[in-house]
Amino acid sequence: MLLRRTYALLIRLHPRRFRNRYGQEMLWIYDEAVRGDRARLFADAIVSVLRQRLLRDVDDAVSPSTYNRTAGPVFATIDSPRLPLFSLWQGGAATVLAWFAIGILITPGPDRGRLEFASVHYLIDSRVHPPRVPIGATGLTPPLPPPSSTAGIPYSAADLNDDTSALTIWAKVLSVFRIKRSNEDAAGVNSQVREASHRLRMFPFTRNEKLRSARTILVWPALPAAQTRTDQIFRRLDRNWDGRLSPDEIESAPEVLRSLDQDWNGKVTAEECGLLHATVAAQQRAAGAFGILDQDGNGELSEAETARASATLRVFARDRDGSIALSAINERTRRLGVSQ
Amino acid sequence: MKSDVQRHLPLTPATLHILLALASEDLHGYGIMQAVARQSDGRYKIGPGTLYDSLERLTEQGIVTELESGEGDGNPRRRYYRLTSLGRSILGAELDRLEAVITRARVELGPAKARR
Repeated sequence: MLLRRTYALLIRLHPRRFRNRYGQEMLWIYDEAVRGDRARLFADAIVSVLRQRLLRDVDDAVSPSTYNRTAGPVFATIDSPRLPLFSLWQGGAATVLAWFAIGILITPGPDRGRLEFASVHYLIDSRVHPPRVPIGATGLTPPLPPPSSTAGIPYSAADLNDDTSALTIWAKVLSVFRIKRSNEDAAGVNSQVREASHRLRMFPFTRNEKLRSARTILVWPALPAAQTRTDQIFRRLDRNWDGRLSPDEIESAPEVLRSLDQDWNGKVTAEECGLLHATVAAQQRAAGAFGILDQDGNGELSEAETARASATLRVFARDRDGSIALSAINERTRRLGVSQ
Repeated sequence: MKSDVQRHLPLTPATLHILLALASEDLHGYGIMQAVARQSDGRYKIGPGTLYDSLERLTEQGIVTELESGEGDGNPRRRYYRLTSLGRSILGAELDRLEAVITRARVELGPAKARR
């Protein structure tokens, strides 16, 4: 049946003049032909289409009616309507645009619904919408806003579900596509989605800034990795987001690190810290603040390592006020020769 | 009339076989295809696309005529075709031409065969 339909389609590709006149007979011949001859019929039909389209006069004009108009009422014969291919393209493009428009125009509301994408649930709930912070002057590396759900506690896996804005959801979708290209590993996907979720906090927006935010989000996937990637641990320890770990922040490091222990096993793993997926975790573990704190290099912070985190970090406190600049951490990373 | 006939010569193989098939009886498209296959012992088969392209051209030139829908076997999907008198003249002229070609070829090839 499928072959017959294909053959009928080939007949339909002929000029209207030809197919109206001979199409039925060609199909009848196809029905009559033995199975072995059908391959030859297909080849002949393809050649015939090319011949008719390229060499013969393609006269698809509807022939004038011979109806005697003076003899009675006039009925016009309309040719079977066919949707032009261009119209189909137009319709498809309009659908995609409408879909994006709906996504942008969705207003967050309480428990509006749940979106499931790539095994990650995005809860649309405005009650936990992150605070809106103006985009920085450079537009690329604005300061991160403080976490939205619980003041003072760095982001956790729960942050995956705390947003809210349709644009952010779309950006998450974009990020998932980006992840899919680089790594199919499911754990990696989840980890990177979390990473993307944090990154997106760099681009908060108000309703009036939607266009600007959309532009930023569209540009975001193309940004060099170095511009979007930051030291995950440092970011969590730096609670006032000033790019430095003050003595107070160093002092509270164990408390912050313990809050990252999502499974309550007394150990903080690299993944719990939001480091990227397992394939690059080995490199990343050695880099940044995590590499400093993970003194035995086993990829997790034991209870003992967490407890002496403040003391470990103070080794790098070379500033007069006892604070640690991110550059000091980065300098160590560069010396180690690992990419963050 | 003679110049009309000469204008159509030589015939293409497909046209020659179609005219030969219609020389003895009126046939529909599929019947012509089968007749052509029989004439050449299955060595030459003509497809529907080629057949109807040729028939359209031959009908326009008045070499073949399409029978009215009641003159066939009553099946509306089958249209029968008949050779016109012009068609017969053209077929006759083409056969004469081919015969002359064959005769000439035999004359030319005879001494060559003898030399080998």
